Amino acid sequence: MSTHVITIVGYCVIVVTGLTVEARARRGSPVIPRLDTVVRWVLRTRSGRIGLFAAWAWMGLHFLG
Amino acid sequence: MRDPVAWILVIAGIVELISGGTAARGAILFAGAGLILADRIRVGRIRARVGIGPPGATAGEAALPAVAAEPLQAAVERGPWIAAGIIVALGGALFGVHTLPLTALTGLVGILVVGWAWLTEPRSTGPDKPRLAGLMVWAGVFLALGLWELTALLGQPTLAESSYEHPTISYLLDPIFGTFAGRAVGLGLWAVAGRSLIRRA
Repeated sequence: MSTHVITIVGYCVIVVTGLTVEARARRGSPVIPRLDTVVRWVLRTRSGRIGLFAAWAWMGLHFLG
Repeated sequence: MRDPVAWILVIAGIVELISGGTAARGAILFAGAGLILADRIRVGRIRARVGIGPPGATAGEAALPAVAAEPLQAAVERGPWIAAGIIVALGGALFGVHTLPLTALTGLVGILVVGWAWLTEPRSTGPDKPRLAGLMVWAGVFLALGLWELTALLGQPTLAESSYEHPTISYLLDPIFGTFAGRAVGLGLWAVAGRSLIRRA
C-alpha cells in the first residue's frame, strides 16, 4: 500500500472516529459531550471566541483564499 | 501570554508561514493571538480602574463596557442577508482559489467576524463545563487530525512543496476547488460554519 493511500486512510479513520464520538454523544453518553456543546462552552470566553473565529477565518483563507 | 488559545494561534501561524502559506493566512492567526493579548491588557486595566479582584472572576469581564452582539447575530437570521451571502459565495466562486479576489473576499469577511468576536461580549449563559474526560476525547480527535496533517507536511520534499505521496488536506481538496461547483460548495460550507458559530457566540 502506497503512502498516498495510507495517508488518505488515516484522514478517513480520524473523520470516522469523530463521527463515532458525536454519535455516542447524541445517544446520551454521560461522559462525552456533543461537539455543539463543546463549541458553545468554548465560545463563553473571549479568548475562545477569538480563537474559534480566527481558526474559521484561517480555514477560508487557507483552502480557498 | 499565558492563554493557551493564543499560543495555539501563534504556533499555527508559524507553521502556516514556514510551509509556504501566504502572509494573509499567517496574519489572521497572529492577529487573533494579538487580540487575545490586547484583551487581557484591556481587562487588566479595567479591573484595576474599577477595583475588581484578580482573574478567575468572570465578574470582571461582566463589568466591561458591552457592545451589543445582537446586530450581526440578528442579520445572519434574516432572509435578505442569507440571500446576499449566497450571491457573494456564488460570485466568489467565479474566481480561482488562491487568487486576489478570493483572498480579499475570505480575508475581509474573516477580519470583520474576528473583529466582531473581539468587540462583543460573550454570552453570560451557556452550557456548564463538560466533563474533562469528554473534552479530552474531542481534543484527541482534533489533535490526531493536526498531527496526521503535520506528518504529511513533513513527508513532503520541502515544507512548501506539495507531494502526491504525502497529501495534505489542502492538496486533496485543491482539485475539488479547481471547479466552480467545488468552490461554490466550499465557500457555502465555510459561510454556513461561520453563521453557525455566530449564532452560538
